[in-house]
Parts: sequence; C-alpha cells; structure tokens
Amino acid sequence: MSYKKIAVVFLLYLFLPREAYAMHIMEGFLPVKWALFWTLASLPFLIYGVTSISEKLKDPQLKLLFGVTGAFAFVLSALKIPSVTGSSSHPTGVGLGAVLFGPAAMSVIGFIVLLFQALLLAHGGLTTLGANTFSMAVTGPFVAYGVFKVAKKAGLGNGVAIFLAASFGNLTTYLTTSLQLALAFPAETGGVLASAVKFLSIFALTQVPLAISEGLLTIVIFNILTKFSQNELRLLHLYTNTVKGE
Amino acid sequence: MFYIDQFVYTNKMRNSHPGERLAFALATMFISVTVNQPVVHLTVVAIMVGFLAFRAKIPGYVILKLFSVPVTSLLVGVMTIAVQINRFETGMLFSMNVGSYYLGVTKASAAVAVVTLLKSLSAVSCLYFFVLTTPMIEVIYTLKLLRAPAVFLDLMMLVYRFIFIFVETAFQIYTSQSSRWGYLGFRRSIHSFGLLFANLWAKSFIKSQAIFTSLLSRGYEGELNVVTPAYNWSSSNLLLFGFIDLGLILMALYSGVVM
Repeated sequence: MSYKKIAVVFLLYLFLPREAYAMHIMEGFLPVKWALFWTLASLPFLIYGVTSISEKLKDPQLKLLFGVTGAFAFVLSALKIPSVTGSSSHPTGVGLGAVLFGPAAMSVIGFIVLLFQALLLAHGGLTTLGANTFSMAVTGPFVAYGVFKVAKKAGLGNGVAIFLAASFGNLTTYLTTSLQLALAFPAETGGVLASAVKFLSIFALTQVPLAISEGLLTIVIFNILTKFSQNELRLLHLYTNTVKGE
Repeated sequence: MFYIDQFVYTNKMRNSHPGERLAFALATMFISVTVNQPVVHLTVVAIMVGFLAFRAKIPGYVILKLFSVPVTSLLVGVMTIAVQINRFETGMLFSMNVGSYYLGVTKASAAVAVVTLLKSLSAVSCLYFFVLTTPMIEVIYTLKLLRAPAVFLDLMMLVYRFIFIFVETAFQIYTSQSSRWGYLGFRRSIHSFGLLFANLWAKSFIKSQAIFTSLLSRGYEGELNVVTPAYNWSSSNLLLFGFIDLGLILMALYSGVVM
C-alpha cells in the first residue's frame, strides 16, 4: 500500500493550488440550477449597489475615480502575493475595497472585475459569474466592512481593524466558495456537510496563511496611504464616509 | 498576463453583428452545461476551436496557450470532486487511509468528475469563441443593446481603458523592486508589495484627476461617447449558428439521457 500512498501524496503535492485561482469557480463547473440560484442570489445586492452609487456617480470626477479603482482592483487580483508558507497566491482585495469605498460600491466594482477576469483572463466564467460574485463581491466585502466597523467600535486601532477586516474578508470569500461547491457536489455519504468539510480542509492548507498575508499586506498599504495620500483619502471620505486620513 | 487584444481586433469574424456571436456562444454554453453526454461536449469544443482557427484565423499557438490556462485549476477542481472521504473502503477504486477515514475515488465520483471536466472545458471553449472574436468595445455595445444600466457600462468602459496602463505600471514597479532584492524573504516581500500597491493607488488617483481635467477642457459632461460602426445581422451566420445548436440538441437527445 505504501507506494500508493506515496503516489497519492505526490499527486496532491503536484496539484495543490500553490498558484491558486481556487477562489474562482471555473466556467461550466456548476450545474445549471446552482448557477441560476447564485445569479439570482447576488442580483439584489448588485441592484442595490448600482442604485446606491449611481446617485454619487452623477459627479463625473467620482465616476472616473471609480473607474480607476476598478482597474486597480483588477491589477491587484492579477498579481501574486507571497504567503506565510512560502507559496504565493492572489489577494482578493475585498477588505481594502470595502473599507475604502463601502460594501455596496464594492459589490459593483467586484462584479465588473470578475467579468473582466472571465473575459480577459479566463478566470472564473460567465455561467459561474453569479456564484463568484456572491462569494467575492457580496459576502467578502460585507463581512470585511462589518468586521472593520465592529473592531473600530470595540476601540481597536486602525491597523488591527484593517488586518481583521482583510483577513476575514478573504476567509469568508473562500468559505462561501467551499460551501457553493459542497452544495453543488454533495459527498456520496454524509451529503453536503461531509462535502463541505472536504472542500474546506483541502483549501484551508493554503487559504489560512494567505488570509494572514492579505491582512498584513493591507495594513502596509493602508499605513502608506494614510502617510502619503492624506488629500486623496480626505476627498474619498467626503464621498463615501468610511475612512478618513488622520 | 497574456494579451489577447491584438488577435481579437484583427480576427476575421469581426465584421458581423457581435450580438450573433454572443447569442451563439451563450446558447451553446447553455446546451453544454445542461447536457451530460461527453460526445456533445467534445463536439462543442471541436466546433468552437474550428471556428476560431479556420474562420476567425486566430493563430494556433494562441488558442493552445489560452486552453492551457484553465487546465491547472480545472484539474485541481475535479480532483476535489473525485476524492471522497468515508469511514469504509467499500466501492472505492483506489484509496488511502488517514486516521480512521479513507480518502478515495469511487466509480460514481470519478464519473461526476469526468463529466464536470468536459462540461467545463466545452463551456470555456464557448467563452473563448466569444472573447476571441469580439473586442471589448463591441461587448459593451452589445450589453447596451441588452439594456444594461448606463452607469454600469460607463464604469466597464473606464475600467477597461485603465487596466492596461495599470498592469504595465505595476509590472514595471515589480521588476525594479525585484531587481533590487525587494522580494527576498517574507517580511520584505510583504513590505515591497505594500509599497507597490500604495504607489499604484496614488498614481491611479493622480491619473484620474489629470484625465478629469483634460476631459473637462474638452467639454466632458459625464458621458464618454464612442462612434460605433453600423453592424448588420448576417442571415447566413444566423442560419449556420442555429443549425449547429439544433444539431447539438438533437445529438444530445438521441445519444442517451439528458439531465
């Protein structure tokens, strides 16, 4: 049996997502009913997002700012950050975005980024756009924003609050994806729950260190922003009421 | 990053109405996702690759390279579907025990994994067909015809315009940082990445202000208008696409059970 074990471990090592797009569900991967379900589930958030920003976006200057932010988020998600374990993967960027722009605006920006990732890079896809939107542009930003608000209320400093927001934003994104996969592909024995445990434990190896890395990275970005980009943050604060430079 | 834009803009299927291609791609994608027969999936891949190679005249190496992109994540994905965790070894084709559990692949889970792999591959080929024959500006034009919200389309246009500038800037910063040992060790890597993104953000912000000023001086009032050529629906294309989809549906119906 041992040679089999070695072979399996080797295979796992070979395929474990060191350079993972594990957080995006691939095109055509979900059965039709789940693809439809997640599309319908994320639709109200998108409509809410579009209506809540379209009032602000009447200001052409802010429209351009949102445009560059979307492009920035796309670039952020296309680069790989190093992880604590020595591997590297892509940050979600949902924490930073949610804290800077608020979760409603982030859901629209996230959706556009996911659409471009599907159309320009073939990460994710059109049939799974709804599911990916729900995990990356709805759950992630809303949780990150909530965590940030709660942490600030609890009297924690900006740094800790940002770290928690970014890490939890990243983690909940991946939790949602695991759940989506588990619902679509339940285990033969144990059903959805067993399947969820399976997907979670497979990705936990790479995802927990990555969430910590994204948290650390977001603190560094935020420190530099508050140090050198006071004016921009202040301008942004006028529009979004989330974070102001100190 | 792999730029496909130059091939998209020069492809030979660009002349017809982009709506035709979107409808065809989506219809075929829907068929391949709903149907469980490998024959249909493989046919879809063959048809799409055929269109890309022989009608759109996209170079073969580009198609090959693009198809190799999703393969790794697809393999990881289907492996996680195929592997089942169970207390007993019964029914597993091969397995390995971890503590009191067995990790293994059963006949049913392997079948699900293979069908999912093929489904995904055929859906990806439909996506590539659309993406490689339709420039982003025409995608946005098509979405406009479908009555997508104007705010949303404006944002899409802006994001698309800025992406390439930022990617280039980000990679230039990355190169200059790593040539100075900026990514040696974890701590330094995180710090360097932080610098990269914070600077990119500041640069983006300044850029957006500069663009705003220059647009204002040219009479910008919040709308970016682009001249779109008049596209004509080609009846021969529509017939061909309809014929193919009909054929696929018939093939699915007569080659076994539909999901």
